[in-house]
Amino acid sequence: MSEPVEPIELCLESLDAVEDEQPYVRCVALSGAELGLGLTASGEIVWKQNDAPSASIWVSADNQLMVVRNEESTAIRLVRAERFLDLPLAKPVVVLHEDLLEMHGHSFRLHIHGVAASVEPPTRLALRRVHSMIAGAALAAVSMAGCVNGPPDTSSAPSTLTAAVTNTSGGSPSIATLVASGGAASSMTEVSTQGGLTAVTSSTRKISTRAPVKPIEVRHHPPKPNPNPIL
Amino acid sequence: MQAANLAPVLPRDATVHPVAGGALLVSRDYALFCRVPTEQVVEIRKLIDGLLPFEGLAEPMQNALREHGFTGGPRAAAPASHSVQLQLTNDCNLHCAYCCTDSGAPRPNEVTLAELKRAVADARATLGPSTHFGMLGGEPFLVPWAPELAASILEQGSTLTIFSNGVPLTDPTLCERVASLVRSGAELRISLAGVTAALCDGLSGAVRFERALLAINSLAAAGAIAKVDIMVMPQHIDALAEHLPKLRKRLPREVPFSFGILYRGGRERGEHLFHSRRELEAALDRIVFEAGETIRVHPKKPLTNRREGCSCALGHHLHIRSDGRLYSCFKMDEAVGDLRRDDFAEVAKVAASRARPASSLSVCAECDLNTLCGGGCRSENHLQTGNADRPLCGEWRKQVCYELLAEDMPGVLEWPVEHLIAEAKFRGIEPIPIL
Repeated sequence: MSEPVEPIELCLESLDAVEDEQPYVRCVALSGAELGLGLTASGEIVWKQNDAPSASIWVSADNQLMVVRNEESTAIRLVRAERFLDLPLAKPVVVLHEDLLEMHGHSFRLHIHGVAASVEPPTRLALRRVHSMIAGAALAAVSMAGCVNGPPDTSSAPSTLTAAVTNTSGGSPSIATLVASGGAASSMTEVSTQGGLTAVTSSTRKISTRAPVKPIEVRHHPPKPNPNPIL
Repeated sequence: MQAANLAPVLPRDATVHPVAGGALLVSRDYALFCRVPTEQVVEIRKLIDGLLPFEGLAEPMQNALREHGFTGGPRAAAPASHSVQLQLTNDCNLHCAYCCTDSGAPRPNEVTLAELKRAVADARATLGPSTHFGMLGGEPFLVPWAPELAASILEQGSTLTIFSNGVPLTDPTLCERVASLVRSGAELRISLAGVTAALCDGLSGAVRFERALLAINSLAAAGAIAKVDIMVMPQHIDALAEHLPKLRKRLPREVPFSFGILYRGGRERGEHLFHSRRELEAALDRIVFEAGETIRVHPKKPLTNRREGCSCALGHHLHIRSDGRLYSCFKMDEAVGDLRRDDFAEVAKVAASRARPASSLSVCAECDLNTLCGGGCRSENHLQTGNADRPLCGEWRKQVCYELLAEDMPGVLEWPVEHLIAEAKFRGIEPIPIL
């Protein structure tokens, strides 16, 4: 028997947001048949609008988070680990935690959190990204909680909003993390007591299909006894 | 202009070659390379001629040279790691259309357990205790003593990789025995010819897919995680994109997947190969995004190890065929000895003493890439030119390598020649050879 299709909670992080803006929008993706989460060509996150948005984000029958490009005129690129795909029209593509969606000059990093406890319209979180000394402290705090660099669905413990890894243009990936608006993240408690984030931490639970697996190696076959991956 | 008598900064043999948008600075002695933008080429030439101090270069160029090792010493080769591959039998329960060892029937008078145990001991004594061993067939687990040989290798403290199609491991007793080997540190790689039963069994000429999955799951239940090698060929990309998630769901999540890329040899005549790197990468992109997987891109690197030749050419690898003949490379028929006639240690010493670094090859001796390229894969050279010591090379190949090194892609130096030709075509580099 196939497993039930459940809505997935995710955050869309706008990488275009300037430092004082709040870049994280908590969203819920519904199953494919329902009209739900979408993005317009102008980079606006929309919810249950009558007209199909430029891109729809939804959950497939096998519980994978999908994105589909709906408009001929809107080019959308999905980026993962330096690979990219220009989305074909009307063909759903699987998205994974920390994938990047680029469209018309707007870039969104996806943070997949797990099965949504409730279906809610997109909500901007009262969180901002920092690139300063406190980021290190905040990251350390978040790291201690075991939720850095990976979807929070690999254990049965409640998950927290994952720290974001942002790929700055041309440079090495830089770590961004989440802190409460207007305050330094001196401890995990302080971070997690903010309203928006609390909602995230308490609402998600694991999804088996979203658990990360090792990247696939590409090798000559059969390889020599010494490992010789070609990628 | 008068030479300024400046202390040399760059290696004395540094030269520049034109590439799109500038030039490539190369040093054969130091095994280094660095892109030079058009506007810096004159300054770099002055630097080479001692007419300009290093500080006279634009700062980004200085940084690029530092990053690419030009202010340090010569690059070293990767530490030599010896490996010995043991073909236990040529017998196979399958008849795969792409089989690179052309396996099927056993050879007359195949090697015995005692012979291979002795060869392992000799290899460890001659090549060192860190020598890595591989066991393959045919199907190695058709040989009743395969687990005993594997256990013996592990007990001596050596590392071991076993290549199997997994089908014999549906036998519970054998499965438990092999699981014990994996728990003791053996790497077990089970291959699939396709991502569905129809594709896999169709190419293998026998029922394989479901049995291999049963074996992998039984091993996992016994605490042994096998690695799954999925053959990737252009004809299977649609199926891979669609069915890989279904395969994931049928196996324990800890089971790692690798993709095996085929090459010409044995029964593979080229019909299952990717004919360009771009074709391969596009296929991988599709699988990544349609199946929801991650496959890393070959990383751009400003530095690479000195590469005087492939491990076979340098005598770092020995292959024992199931009839006891010894080869420096399992891809080609170039015997270097016979287990039953020759002393293994002597053969290993002779193979090492006959190392063929690229600098010793007539085609490569004068090439300024010979410490980076290593003269190509010898089996491929043999396939293309009929002479393992003569790579299919020319200005076209050098230019492709210059262009890609200028993009910090030293991995190009190990691409198959067919991919290099395709890349030359794509970049409009002529003339190129016709295969």
